[in-house]
Amino acid sequence: MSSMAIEIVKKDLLVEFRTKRNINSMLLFSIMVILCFRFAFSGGDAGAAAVAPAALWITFILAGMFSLSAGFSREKDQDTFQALLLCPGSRSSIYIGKMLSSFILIMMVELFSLAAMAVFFEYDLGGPVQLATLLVVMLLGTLGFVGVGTLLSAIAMNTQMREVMLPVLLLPLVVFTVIMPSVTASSRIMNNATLLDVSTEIRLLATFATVYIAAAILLFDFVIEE
Amino acid sequence: MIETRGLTKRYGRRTVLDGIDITIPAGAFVALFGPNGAGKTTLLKILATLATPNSGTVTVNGWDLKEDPGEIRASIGVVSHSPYVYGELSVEENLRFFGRMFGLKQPGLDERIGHLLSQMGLAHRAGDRPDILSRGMKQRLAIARALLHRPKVLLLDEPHVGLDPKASAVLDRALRLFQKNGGTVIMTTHDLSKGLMMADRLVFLIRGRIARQVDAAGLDEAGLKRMYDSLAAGQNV
Repeated sequence: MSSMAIEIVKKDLLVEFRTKRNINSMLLFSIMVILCFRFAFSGGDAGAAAVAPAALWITFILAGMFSLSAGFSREKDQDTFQALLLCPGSRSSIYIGKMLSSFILIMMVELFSLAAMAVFFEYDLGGPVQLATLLVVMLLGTLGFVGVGTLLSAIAMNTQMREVMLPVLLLPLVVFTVIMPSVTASSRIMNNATLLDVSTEIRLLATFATVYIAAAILLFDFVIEE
Repeated sequence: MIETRGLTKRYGRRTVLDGIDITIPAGAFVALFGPNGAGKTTLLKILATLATPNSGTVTVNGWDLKEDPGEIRASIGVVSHSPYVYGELSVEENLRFFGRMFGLKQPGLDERIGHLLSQMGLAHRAGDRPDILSRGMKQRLAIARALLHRPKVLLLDEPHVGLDPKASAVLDRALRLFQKNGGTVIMTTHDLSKGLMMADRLVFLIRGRIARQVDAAGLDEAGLKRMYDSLAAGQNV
């Protein structure tokens, strides 16, 4: 990974933890979504447990939108995106840096949401193996989501309705390639499936994460071209 | 040295730059005049690799725009109306971030930052965020950011806009020092007297074409104004 990408990650995380502008919204939003699901399906414990994996991923995806849309729009609003473009390294380093900083922030919110879900859904996260398997699914699902989401966020940055454009462009792409395999795998892991049992979903998530990131690295230069 | 040949840029059906041929020798200070929409900013954006031309060739410091854009970016500094700095980071943190983005390493980076902050009269504001700086101070910070990696060429897009006379004088001193040290400057401006005072070559860009290039030496402000007015009105002088 290039030093430019690392510097962008360090700068983004420093700005985020200093202002807490994005992460506070994401954490609050996550709690709200989890509570909404909990109370909407409070008719019986079986109903709540059945929707838990879907609730978890809907929370991840919606909270992740905050991070993705803020990633480039903050740069655009301050005109600093031009300054990044004036740096001598490869422009794909900007994409990689932005993608990784979103990935780290979203993963932090996901871990918090997972704990919140366990509390509010009174759900037993199981042993370390089950938890580790779930974390692998979360890592790969999130990587695919931010991989394509960061590219689309760069496209949406230059549109007039950028807050609307990002979900409109992103959700159709990730429904079948990220959300469905992630929810299926999470649901099975929560019902004591092993890593081997969800290997198909994990391979699918890994494939799409790789394809999305590789395609974004190739396309980023064209997306930002004036 | 900067050289463009047949440089053309279109946005949709609108031609913004139409066959620009220009040669700027190393160490020159060029003022680029022209009315709004003449293509001045677009020309600077292309030279800065921020926009891609539809046709034509561009070389900056011997590097070709299409083949070596990264090398061009490493050899230029850009100052615009906007300071291009992060409001959430301090003055020093901003410079350290951009220094690292240009591959500068410690301890030389901190020494360079300290030198530039002193030169720009910002050493006492190193820990402040740019948000609370005056417009003049922000512009000096922008110059420091642009000079951080010791570029050979400075591209300035109306850098004096919004500056009071004192801040403007500080900027002028920094630009003169840069040129004295062998740097090349291209500055767009609507301020004819400022351009005449600072530059040694004046270029008039009208409706996407180079309407005229003259040496600043021997030209007075009234003559320059007459020349500009008649060129802008579409007459040849």
